[in-house]
Amino acid sequence: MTATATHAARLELSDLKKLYGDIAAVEQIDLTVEPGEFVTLLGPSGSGKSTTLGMVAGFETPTSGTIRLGERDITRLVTHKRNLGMVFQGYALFPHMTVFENVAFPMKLRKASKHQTRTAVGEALEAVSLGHLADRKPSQLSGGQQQRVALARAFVHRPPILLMDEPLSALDKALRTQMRDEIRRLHRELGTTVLFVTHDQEEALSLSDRIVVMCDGRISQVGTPTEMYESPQNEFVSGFLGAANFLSGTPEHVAAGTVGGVRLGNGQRVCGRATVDVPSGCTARIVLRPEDGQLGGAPSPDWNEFRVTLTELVYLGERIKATGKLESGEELSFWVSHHQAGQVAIGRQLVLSWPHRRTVLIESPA
Amino acid sequence: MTATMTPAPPTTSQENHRVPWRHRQGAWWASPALLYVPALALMVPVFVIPTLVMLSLSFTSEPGGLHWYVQAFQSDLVRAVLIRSFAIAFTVTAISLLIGLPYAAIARRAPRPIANVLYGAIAASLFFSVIVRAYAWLSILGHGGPVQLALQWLGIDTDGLRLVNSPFGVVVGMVQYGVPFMVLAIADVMRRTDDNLERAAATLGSGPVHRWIHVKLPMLKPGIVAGVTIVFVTTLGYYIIPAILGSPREMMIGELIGSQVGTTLNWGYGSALASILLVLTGLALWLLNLLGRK
Repeated sequence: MTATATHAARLELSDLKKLYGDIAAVEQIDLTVEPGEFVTLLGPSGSGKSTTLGMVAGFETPTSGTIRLGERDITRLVTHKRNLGMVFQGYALFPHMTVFENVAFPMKLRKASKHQTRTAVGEALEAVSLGHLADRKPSQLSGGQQQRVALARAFVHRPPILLMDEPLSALDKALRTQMRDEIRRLHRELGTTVLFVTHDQEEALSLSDRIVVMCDGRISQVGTPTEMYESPQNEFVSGFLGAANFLSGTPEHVAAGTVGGVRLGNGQRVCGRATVDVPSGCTARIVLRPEDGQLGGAPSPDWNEFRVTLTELVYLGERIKATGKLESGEELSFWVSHHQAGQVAIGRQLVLSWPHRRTVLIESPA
Repeated sequence: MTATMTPAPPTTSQENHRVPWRHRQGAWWASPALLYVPALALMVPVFVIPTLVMLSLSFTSEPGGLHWYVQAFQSDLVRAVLIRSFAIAFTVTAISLLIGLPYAAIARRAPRPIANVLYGAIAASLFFSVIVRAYAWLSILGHGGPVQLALQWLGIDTDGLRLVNSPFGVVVGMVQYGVPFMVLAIADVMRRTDDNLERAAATLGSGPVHRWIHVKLPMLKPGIVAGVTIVFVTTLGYYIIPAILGSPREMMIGELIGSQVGTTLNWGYGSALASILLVLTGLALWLLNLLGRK
């Protein structure tokens, strides 16, 4: 558009490491974000996702490793020379400036002419539907409006990359969903590279081209939302993205991507699709998503059957969460829809089934 | 117990008498306006009445009317003293700001133990009496003091140098008095500012100097205006420090008033000068307040 025309850039993190004293906040971070890609760093607090973003922004200096943005090595470059756009959780709008002045801030720094600035700011504010509030002070806006101003300010100068540090966490739930859709639309229209940080799996799943799940300062798994949700490669990812039941068993050797069998403690053989190589000597974990479970026996041979005694029913409005106990003492949770509510009661013996294809096998860490 | 809780009509005349109070918009003794009473009880006798007495003295002392004001406005001495007072107050405020602002910024960024020492030094200096501090400066800067000896050792001729009993001495003493107030006023605002604002400015391309001028300073303005107001207004009319560290030939307005009331016992002239100072101080406050709002 009119502003300094910069193209979306590739971001490359190689073997990035950050030590605080002897403790590694982040290590072995290798990640390439393609130009125009929307990548989310997802993880609980303390997983290192914010430290990683801080190193890309230049707030933290890596202990070792390199960061490349486009053609430049920015590992040790000061923040204000990196040409970034960033959105913060707490909006971080300049309170003494109007909405217009806030959004014009990066334009003025780039010595844009008055006309250029006015056009670019106008367009940016239109893009977040706030053109009519240009003369207000941030304190006169609602939280959602303030965050939209912050968004406009972050992309008005067309930075080659947009960094977002939990931008939706300070908003209430309804607003969060609305802003999420807005960010997705903006990313489509602008085509910039986006590095987004969140601890909210729903945000990550709905916004990202790829998700990077982080745990204890390392990358746990990288993949598209579908890959991450349907083919988690370890227990942490399976449990962090969505709800999951875990059963343990002894596997036959199952190669990654193939369906194979695992023997449970009571001798029952359960089949599932392995997302990583599961060697025969190890302990396998069987991952079962509650929403894939069905009440009743297996409708065809490629389903696993489980016999449980119902121990708990929790009414959640849209559905009922039911928990049953296997003979082994392990528990299985599953969803019950309202028209099936008559079939469940605490203490009742039930047969549940899960399709093989949606039964995931991984190697247990222990 | 349950019987008395039912809203049965009151039977005795005593209860009858009490009911109307309860149904009013709140009892008189619960009015928030009453919270002013302790402050008023203190301020009226110790501040408002003496001020009014002083103001009236300036009009009523023999020969009365505007006589003392006319004399004050025609006096070259008064004009010189007022100009000197404003110049010294301005200098002291400027130096206090130049010291206080970086001090507060450094204390804010410093690691815990160093920050504690820095803030502690500010708090501790408030514990010592102004008189003690002024006399301390007298011995440090005065004849035969360490500063003079050090200058002599460096080969500087100190004969013409008047470090105390001069406006220089007053400025030094008043700056020491003013810096803690400046730091406290600025540090308070600084503590409440969001660090992410500076980070946000940096990500958008703003370098350290630009950040200070366009992001940090505007955010600190309320604190700076508060600090400047406190230091300027107190310095303008201060008596003790100029009396100890200044010279009678270059006095400030506080000393002039003091000498009129204390030495020559000319209450009319003294209170007229005090009233002029009061009005000028009010004017300065008004201007600074205007600056802070903008």
